[in-house]
Amino acid sequence: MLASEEASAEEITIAAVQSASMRRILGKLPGKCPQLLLMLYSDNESSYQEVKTKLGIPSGSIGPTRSRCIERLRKALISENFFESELNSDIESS
Amino acid sequence: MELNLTESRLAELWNLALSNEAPRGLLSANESLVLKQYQSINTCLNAPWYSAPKRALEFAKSIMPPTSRRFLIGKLIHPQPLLGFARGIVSQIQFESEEVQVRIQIEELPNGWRMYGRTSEPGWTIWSGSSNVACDGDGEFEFEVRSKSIEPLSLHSHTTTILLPMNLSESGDGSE
Repeated sequence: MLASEEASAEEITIAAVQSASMRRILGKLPGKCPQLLLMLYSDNESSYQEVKTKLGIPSGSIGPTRSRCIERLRKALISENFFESELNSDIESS
Repeated sequence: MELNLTESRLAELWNLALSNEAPRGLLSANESLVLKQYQSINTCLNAPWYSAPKRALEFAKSIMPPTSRRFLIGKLIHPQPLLGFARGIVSQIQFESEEVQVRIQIEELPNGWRMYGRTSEPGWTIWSGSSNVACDGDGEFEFEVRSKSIEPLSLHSHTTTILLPMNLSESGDGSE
């Protein structure tokens, strides 16, 4: 296996594990935080107008709500030891 | 740990993480820590969902110590594209790992997807994005996702997380 292929495989695997782990913790956040953060920052990025329509958050409140949700997520990740374990995730394929 | 960072400073750090630019000026230790954590969050939020090619699974197995086994990647056994099938079922997928086998049918709805299936053992919770549902006593589950994108699926028990490599457009990856 070439070095570049190894790096790619490692990146793919770790990104998949970390992303799923973080989304699981994100899903535990209260209120509209999970939907809001996924709408704003995941692959299919939504506009503020779409957020306003789908989540009922006034445009002027999206920024502050987003900031609070990010901080909640960061603290939730800390309490779940996400940052300590993210480089040491034990992965075993079946 | 109390960071003593204002909301506006936290917002600046988040924007810095989003921009992927080097900070202007020195950051305090707390600011550097938060920035690094924000960068990890941003990376994970934006991570595309890859199907897991066999090569990646083999490589992961070779580099990861098999200790606590908190994570385990499922193996895509038998993707069956069923385009045009009755009731709008677009795919039937089976995964298996050492702990559990799961079969999932995905049905397209006007505003999302309905997923239902069965695990070989009860006691699992199925997650799709931020939605989740616990299997019943027979290991069966069903839930709807109100999004046209298919979120990553994972199975959770008290001790194990199984990631299901979903990529309907690349049915060959990871299959054997």
